[in-house]
Amino acid sequence: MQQQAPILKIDDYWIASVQGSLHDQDVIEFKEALLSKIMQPESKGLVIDLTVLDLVDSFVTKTLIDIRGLAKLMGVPVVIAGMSPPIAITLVEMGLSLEGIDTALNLQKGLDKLRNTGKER
Amino acid sequence: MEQEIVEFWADARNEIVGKCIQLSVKDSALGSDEWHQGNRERVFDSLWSVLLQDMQDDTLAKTEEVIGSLAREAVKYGRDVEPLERIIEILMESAEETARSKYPEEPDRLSRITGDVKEYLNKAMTVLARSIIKAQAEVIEKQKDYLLELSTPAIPLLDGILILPLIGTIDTRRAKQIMDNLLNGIVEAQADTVLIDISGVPIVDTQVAHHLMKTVQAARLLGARCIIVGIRPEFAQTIVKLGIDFGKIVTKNSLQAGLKLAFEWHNYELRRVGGGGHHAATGANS
Repeated sequence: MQQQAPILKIDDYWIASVQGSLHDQDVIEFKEALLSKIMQPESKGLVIDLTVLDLVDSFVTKTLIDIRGLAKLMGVPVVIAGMSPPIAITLVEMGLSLEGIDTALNLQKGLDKLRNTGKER
Repeated sequence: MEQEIVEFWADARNEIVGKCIQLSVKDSALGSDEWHQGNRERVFDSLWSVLLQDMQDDTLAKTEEVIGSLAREAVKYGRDVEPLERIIEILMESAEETARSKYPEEPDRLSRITGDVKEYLNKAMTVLARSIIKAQAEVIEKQKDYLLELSTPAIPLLDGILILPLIGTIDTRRAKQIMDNLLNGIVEAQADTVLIDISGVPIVDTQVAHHLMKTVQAARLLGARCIIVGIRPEFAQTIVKLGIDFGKIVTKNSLQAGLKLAFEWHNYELRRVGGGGHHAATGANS
């Protein structure tokens, strides 16, 4: 599981890189692992990097929305970074435009975005 | 097909091809350069032999192949297709004439011998018409692709800013192409702001608006913000009349206004350096 989606920490920001295609069970475990990490008091934000993700289904999407909602409850901002065009098109065609979730072109821009939102608070 | 008939036509082959060439030289429709002597002989000869073969095998496969390639070539190089029709007509005339000269006194035998050939030449005519239409459709399809390639450029303007000028009517096919192009352009240029200029789109209906919204949403998922610019009064009217909710999509009336906003987002400042001169004078008017 850890191989599929490593969760790393830079400064006080968490970075989760989702790789390959996730099975439903993997997705649930990923969510659990992620939540237990951002529970830690020093967490300032979370970037979910989808650069190497090549397939999404509605369950993965739902989980992304869930994570965002849960993280918001804990006061941790979430940014989704590096989504590829085919995945964006799939999501839009499915009618899931992930309203309310912040997005960024790449990991760097995602981190920048988190730092900026941190400053505004 | 009877052996006798097959043999008759096989024996008459040289005579028929010779007659065809004679007839074709007199024919004004075949007067152009592409149909010089050697070429004609080759075309008549090959056509006649595949026709005989197909008659024996009771198919049209080889005839279709030969006529298809002739038609494709003619359409590809923009040549007139009328000569191709004439070629088949000439084949028919020569075949009839040859048969008649062999059996002038036996009408029954004559019609028995020529019947099948006539039928096959008629079929060949149909095949020709079909091949021409198919070849033209292929050309049109290819041109459509070229047009699509040309029509949706995503232009990197400044670091992080992309412009997508849309010109012409947008249908579903083009909308898909636009979305693909834009998203790939965003990733390639790592641009986080996109200006979509729709002032060149003549008709905006629900379909177009829907595609636009989908494109903007997809771009947002990648992490790019879109500004739709060049919204003409008619377009605004349509949107309001149809009750389409453009929601959070940022829109501006002109490309200039959109650019200004994009610069703001990127913390750029557009400033003229130094005073006076030609540029300052024209700038003051605008």
